[in-house]
Amino acid sequence: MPANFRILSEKCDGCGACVPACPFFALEVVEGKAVLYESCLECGVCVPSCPTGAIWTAGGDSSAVAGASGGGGSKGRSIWVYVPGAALGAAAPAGAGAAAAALGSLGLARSVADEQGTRVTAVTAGDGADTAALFAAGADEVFVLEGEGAVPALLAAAVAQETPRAVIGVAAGEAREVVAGAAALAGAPLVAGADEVECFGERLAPKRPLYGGRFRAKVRAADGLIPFITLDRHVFRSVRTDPRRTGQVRHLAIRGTAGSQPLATAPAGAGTATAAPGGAEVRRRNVPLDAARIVLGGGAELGSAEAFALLYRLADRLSAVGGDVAVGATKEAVDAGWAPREALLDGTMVKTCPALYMAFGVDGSPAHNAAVALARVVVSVTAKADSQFCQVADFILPYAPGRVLERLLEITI
Amino acid sequence: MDFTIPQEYEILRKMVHDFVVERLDPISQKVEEEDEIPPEIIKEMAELGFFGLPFPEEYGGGAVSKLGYALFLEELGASSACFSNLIAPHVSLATSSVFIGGTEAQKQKYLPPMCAGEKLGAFALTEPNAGSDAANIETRAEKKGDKWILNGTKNWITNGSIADVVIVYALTDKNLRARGGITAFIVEKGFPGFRVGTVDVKMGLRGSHTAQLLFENCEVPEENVLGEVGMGFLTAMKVLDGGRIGLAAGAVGGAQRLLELSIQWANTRVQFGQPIANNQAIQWMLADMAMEIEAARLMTYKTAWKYDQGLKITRDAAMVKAFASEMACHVADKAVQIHGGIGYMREYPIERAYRDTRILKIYEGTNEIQRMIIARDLLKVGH
Amino acid sequence: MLNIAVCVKQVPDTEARLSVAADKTRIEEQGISFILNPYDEHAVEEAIRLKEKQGGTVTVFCLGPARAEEAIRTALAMGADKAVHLADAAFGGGDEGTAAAALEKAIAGKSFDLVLAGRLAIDDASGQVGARLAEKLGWPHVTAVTRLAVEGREAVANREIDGGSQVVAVTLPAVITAQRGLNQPRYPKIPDIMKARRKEVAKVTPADLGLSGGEVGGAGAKGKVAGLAPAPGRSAGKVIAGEPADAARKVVGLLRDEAKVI
Ligand SMILES: Cc1cc2nc3c(=O)[nH]c(=O)nc-3n(C[C@H](O)[C@H](O)[C@H](O)COP(=O)(O)OP(=O)(O)OC[C@H]3O[C@@H](n4cnc5c(N)ncnc54)[C@H](O)[C@@H]3O)c2cc1C
Ligand SMILES: Cc1cc2nc3c(=O)[nH]c(=O)nc-3n(C[C@H](O)[C@H](O)[C@H](O)COP(=O)(O)OP(=O)(O)OC[C@H]3O[C@@H](n4cnc5c(N)ncnc54)[C@H](O)[C@@H]3O)c2cc1C
Repeated sequence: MPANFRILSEKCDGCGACVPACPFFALEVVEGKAVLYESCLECGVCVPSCPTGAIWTAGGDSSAVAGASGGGGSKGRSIWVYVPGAALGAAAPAGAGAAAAALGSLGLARSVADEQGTRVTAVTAGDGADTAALFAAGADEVFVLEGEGAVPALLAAAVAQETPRAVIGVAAGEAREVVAGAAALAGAPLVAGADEVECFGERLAPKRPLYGGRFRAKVRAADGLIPFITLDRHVFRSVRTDPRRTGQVRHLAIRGTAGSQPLATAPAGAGTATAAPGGAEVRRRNVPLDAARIVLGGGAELGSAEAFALLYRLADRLSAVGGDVAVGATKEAVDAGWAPREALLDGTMVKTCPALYMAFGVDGSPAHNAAVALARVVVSVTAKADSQFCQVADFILPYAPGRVLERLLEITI
Repeated sequence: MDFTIPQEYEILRKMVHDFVVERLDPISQKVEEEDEIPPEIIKEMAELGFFGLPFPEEYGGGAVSKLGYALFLEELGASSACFSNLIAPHVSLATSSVFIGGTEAQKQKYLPPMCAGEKLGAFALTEPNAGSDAANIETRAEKKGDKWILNGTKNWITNGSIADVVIVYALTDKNLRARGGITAFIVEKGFPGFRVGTVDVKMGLRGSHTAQLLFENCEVPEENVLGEVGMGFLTAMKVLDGGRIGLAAGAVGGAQRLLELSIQWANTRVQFGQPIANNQAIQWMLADMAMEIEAARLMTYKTAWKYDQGLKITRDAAMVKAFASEMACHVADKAVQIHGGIGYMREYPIERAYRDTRILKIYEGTNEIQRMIIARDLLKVGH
Repeated sequence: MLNIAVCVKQVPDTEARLSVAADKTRIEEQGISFILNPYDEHAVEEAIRLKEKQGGTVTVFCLGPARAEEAIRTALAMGADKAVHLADAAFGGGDEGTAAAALEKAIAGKSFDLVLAGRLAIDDASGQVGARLAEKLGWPHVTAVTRLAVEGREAVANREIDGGSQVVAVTLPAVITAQRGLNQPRYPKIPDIMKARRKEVAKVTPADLGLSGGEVGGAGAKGKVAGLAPAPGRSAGKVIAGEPADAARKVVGLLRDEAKVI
């Protein structure tokens, strides 16, 4: 039971207004009364939501509680964003995808920092990074870590020295490894793959999907520890880059690395990565359905192999901006020979859980709908208004799918 | 009483489940259209040990108990029936005949390639004039020197047209018949005088073939008498007892799949402005299906358990065979009903399952024969 | 000769119906079935293939309750040689940090050349145990690998990054985490499932690893799930009207700026 919060059951009329207000899912109405669970973090957000004043707090004043929860010590501490040098380097071997992700994470940090009234520090190692791009994307300052040893150890040591409010990175590629490694060395908690970050006072409350996106969790760092967060690309806000922005570049010399951690060998991504053959980005052509972030599905209503083939063209276009894209097909489309059997979605129990599923001319048999049930955002393009599939779609375009495909290919995405 | 399924069988079950979902279900419709299981899938099943599961390791088997075998067929039965109709007659009937009735030398020679799926087996008992009345077979075997000469016709033999090894039950003493006059022979493809007749066109079970087998002065070497002369009928009855558990297990698995498809359909099909699952008429059908499936499942597991304990199972096996096959037919009928018109259409697996299920009440002893066995035992034992 | 350690976890079946437990921080485990984490299957498969090609041993490490033995035996049935099961109740309720710390104690100093693990476990989906473990071991690590070649003391791996992949070379010993596409995991063969019953599964406690009660499980965890809730359900779809060309433009805008999926 939270010590400083309680529901006054004589005042509670069970209206439930507090339930959605709680960011930690700690409130529920049971048998006509609100119940406060163990998971309450005493953030105070629920207090003003209660029309009858039934949420009792030890401090009496809800706003004071919320403000105090971050602890005075973090005032003025900046939010760090780890950016791999290579991601934004002049040579940028990692290519457009990684660069966009790195900038996206800065964009998110920028909006959090604005809300909290603090600074954003872009942290990088080595001198590969294009600092001008970091400032343009929202960094107030750039720290370049310098020293002997591997990047995670350098980052962990720098965190110990500078005590930022939080350390953020992209949940992909080198950043994912470096941030996780640094968290391990710092003995800090890491919220990996967060797709939503809210602010409560100076506290960051990241949410992340679990169990294939079927549940969402809030993770709390033990008191006094600096949280590390890696971000799923879903969270990125569109970045407003401003090339006129500048700031200070600081070279942080790190001596002796975090604690007694051995540094026998260099972690991957630190120097060793560049030596390998063909280090440039390799675009995958055949992304399996269950690994794709975007799935384009085609069904009978497309009417012809030619119309279906437009899906592959759209997939190529989208993969340039949106990561891995796979093309799937209904049973009818496979039977018609428009798509290979590997593309079959219906009834194959392929566990697709893409961020986006765009269906073109799909009428939505139960077998098909079950196969794509875990998609985050669903678009249905069909001229058949009665299509079963429209019932599960977030966006419906009531037009002939082939025509919409042609239009989509005409616009720049 | 402990209903926990042993860990190794949970692993086995999940493996088969994954195999069904990933490898078999996607090709079921194609098999239905082409009436042929792709050879590469048969090879994969062989490599995974599907063809030898209940036999000891020293013969290349999987050393799986009857319970494990039942759980295996329950999972396999969820897919198109042709797959279990490839495996079960080979394992439960043909290979079991060698294991139960064969000499040590025969086991050493035939079991390893049969367990490995290199040699496919068939079990040939039924004849034009001997179906339910199996003791009435007319295929004769006569000793000529060091060979036996077989003459006669076997009907509707599953895997008969593709088998490498056929266990043929023939009359060696007309007067003794079931009481020592029937002998089983191991006939290999290519033995002189053995050929495959017509391959049957059936109501269902596409992808599984039954055929007429013709024996015209077919020469069988002495060492291919399965076990001893005159022991054939006893072997056949023992083999069929065990086989019934497998049949019931497959019926349970198939029915469970139909129930799941029906639930899914009932939840998504909207009529009168709401999913049809909201109607009590549909709910009761689903409840009835689930009750019958569960009863058949428990009977199957219990009979398998008794078999593994070495207890006599003749009555239990007859009961579970008849009960599970009738359950499967009830469930298939309700599944079609819940699906409405789509349940009658070739494009959807419900229609196929409805046709495939019907055979369960006929082969491996008709349900009337099962009731005869049950009643005979009841009247003899008195309870 | 490669001595390979593979870290595996048992997770709820992808087909299981899941609900939130009464304490709102966990999944209700009653009545659901569990499987070997699919990404770990790829790790096990890769380890076995490397062993088959180059000789050596494959040892499975698993932190999890008694029921997790089924996942361990699945890996053994696929072809791993033996296993170490961190099954003590004290290991329960921890976070990625305590899991990595315990695994490090179990793996370090046993002359392994390579540790393979899944990119993430599909339940917690946090994907940090591999990286944390590597850092504790002081070994290099590559995550989300879709291709792996080991030659002598060097491993060359294709690592997935946003929008593509990257080739990374590391010196052994190293930690590699498997992404889908690395290989096609084999189905365990039936005779091997039965034989796996006889393979060695050593059960270890925190004390066996030289860890105190405060360093493992819930007591040692630095991050805790403070709340768990089902993802919000789907509300009624939005019909996008206008001419097809307008609708196409509109939907792209919505997907990019509102839903942020492209
Ligand atoms: C697809 C398929 C696969 C088969 N595979 C094999 C195989 O691999 N090997 C093999 O040896 N055989 C096989 N058979 C044959 C099968 O076992 C027989 O069809 C079955 O035993 C029934 O025999 P019958 O068809 O001659 O029917 P009959 O015996 O002629 O029976 C006709 C009807 O009369 C009933 N009946 C008969 N006698 C009695 C009685 N005394 N009291 C009450 N009712 C009675 C029966 O129950 C049935 O309803 C297969 C059959 C089919 C259709
Ligand atoms: C071979 C064939 C020929 C046909 N020929 C014709 C034709 O010539 N002309 C024509 O117009 N149609 C024809 N039909 C269509 C046929 O009439 C329909 O299939 C039938 O009316 C059932 O509708 P449905 O298939 O949509 O099932 P649904 O209406 O979806 O029913 C599915 C299940 O839900 C049950 N159900 C639905 N509503 C309720 C309720 N309120 N309470 C309880 N249970 C409910 C049904 O009884 C059924 O079990 C034909 C169908 C077939 C298969």
